[in-house]
Amino acid sequence: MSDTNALSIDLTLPLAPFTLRFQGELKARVTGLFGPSGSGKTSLVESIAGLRRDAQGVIRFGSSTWLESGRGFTAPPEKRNIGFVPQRGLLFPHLSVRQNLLFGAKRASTGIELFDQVVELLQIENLLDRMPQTLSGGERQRVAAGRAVCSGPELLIMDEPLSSLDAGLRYSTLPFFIRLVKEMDVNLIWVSHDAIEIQAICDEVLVIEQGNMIERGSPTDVLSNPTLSNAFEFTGFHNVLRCRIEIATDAETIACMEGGKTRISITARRLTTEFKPGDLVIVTIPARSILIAKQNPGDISAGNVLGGVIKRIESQSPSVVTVHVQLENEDGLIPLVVELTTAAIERLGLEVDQSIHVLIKSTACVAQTIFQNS
Amino acid sequence: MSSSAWNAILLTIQVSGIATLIIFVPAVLLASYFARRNSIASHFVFSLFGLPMVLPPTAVGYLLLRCLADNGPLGPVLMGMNLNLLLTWQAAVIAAAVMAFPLIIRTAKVAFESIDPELESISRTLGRGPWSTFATVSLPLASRGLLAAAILGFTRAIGEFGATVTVAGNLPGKTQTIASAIYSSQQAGDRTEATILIIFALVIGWISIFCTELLIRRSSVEGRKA
Repeated sequence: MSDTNALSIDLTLPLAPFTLRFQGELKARVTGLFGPSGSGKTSLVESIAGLRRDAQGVIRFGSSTWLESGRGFTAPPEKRNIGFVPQRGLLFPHLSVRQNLLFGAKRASTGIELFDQVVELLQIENLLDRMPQTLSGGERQRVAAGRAVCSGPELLIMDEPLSSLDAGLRYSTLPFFIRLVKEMDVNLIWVSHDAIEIQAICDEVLVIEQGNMIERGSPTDVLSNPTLSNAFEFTGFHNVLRCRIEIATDAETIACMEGGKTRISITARRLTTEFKPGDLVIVTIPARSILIAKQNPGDISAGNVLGGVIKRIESQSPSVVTVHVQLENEDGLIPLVVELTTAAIERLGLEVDQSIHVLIKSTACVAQTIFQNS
Repeated sequence: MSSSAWNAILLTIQVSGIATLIIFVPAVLLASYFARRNSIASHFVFSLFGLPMVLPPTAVGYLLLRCLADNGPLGPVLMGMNLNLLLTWQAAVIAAAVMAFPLIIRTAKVAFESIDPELESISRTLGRGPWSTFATVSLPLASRGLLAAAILGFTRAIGEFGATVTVAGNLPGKTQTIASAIYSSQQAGDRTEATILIIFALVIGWISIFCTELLIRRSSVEGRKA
């Protein structure tokens, strides 16, 4: 979000077990709200959208005031120019997909142009004449997102739009949303309790717990730090990288990190996926699957042996340590997070500013297409 | 069929149809308003609309009689319009409307309550105001339930006796409806006419209950799918 349409919030909302108190300014183009279920994320975005009558405080977006309870002012939802995508999609069951998409289009100045663009980005052309009841969960969420975008909002709010989908479908639907966000010139608040989604889509993340913001920062920094969030309590941290496919043969797929020079060998999330050079993908790499070696090990099965420098070492627990590595030839934009045991750190004598090699199996670099090169 | 039976049937359809038409729109608007209100005060007000359902119909008729009589609260108003409603078919319409109103507003309220309120919220976020949301989301989604409400109200009006007889009387060819005609023919020992009228009432009632069942069932199935 540019300063002219920053969202400033000073909000109090009594919820059943606690009171939501949120104070802050959202300026990033894509802001993630991260936190466990029941932390107050949905109530917060519903207040922003004007769907909570009991919200107290002040909400301003750019030069317009949406809430100023001190003087008894609340702008109704239809005057806020937002798009809201709820968890369950909630398509209008009596309208076809096309009618759903066009439901809010009256408001949009760009009208039919926007409609065509959305239909193409979300690949829903063949669904246009279907009724919502006949769509799958993933299709429904895509249409719900499209409907919100077609209304030409200045601020788009997506409240866990993928959480009702199972894991497989969630990660195959995610690219549609990334594409939409990348191509549409609209500010977005993305609510999720899935850290991979947040990293793949957001510029900044705010961690919400018990109705309070407890941390904010870059997704990698915040989510890889277990004292800031327990995002990866069970699975360990996952690095999420955007890459462009360079070489795709039957034997091997090589992708280059977007905005960088490093090339990595990857595999597809679905074994049937066929990549083409130029395709844009997101690659997830579990921090637990990365090895560190002091010297280049030479003959080794791992497809990726990358030079780098240790930038930070943080203790997660007495036995587990997070190592932030800046890859060689990169300007620091693409850090890689590695999880090691304290014993390994001590055995190798690893310290900050030390040059090392990271070793990653190609099968640990799991890729999902966002944009196909046509 | 005797001409008096035939007249009673035609008059009943006319009276019930007009009564339903008159109260349908206000009942639907009120139902949609109360469907989303949950305060004690709103429940209190809404419960007043149900009174004709639980009062003896003759009591409702009596109250209407007092209201519409020349010296009643509405009497001067009506006299000013030069209307003398008592003992006319229009009085039967008013009685039928009052008696059918609770059934229509209650069924309509259930139809609105069964709509996911978040769908209405989403419509608002898409730039539609409350009236536009009502017209494009609530009304179409409640339509089956509303049709069921109208059918039930119409059927209730057809069966109306106590209040009608009190304000409109039982004048063959003028204010005699199916219900009062059945009563008269039974009093006069005319079994054939009573049987014909009863069969007619039975068929209409059965068809309407069956249609209502279908409508309500299908609307709840659709509601679940959405």
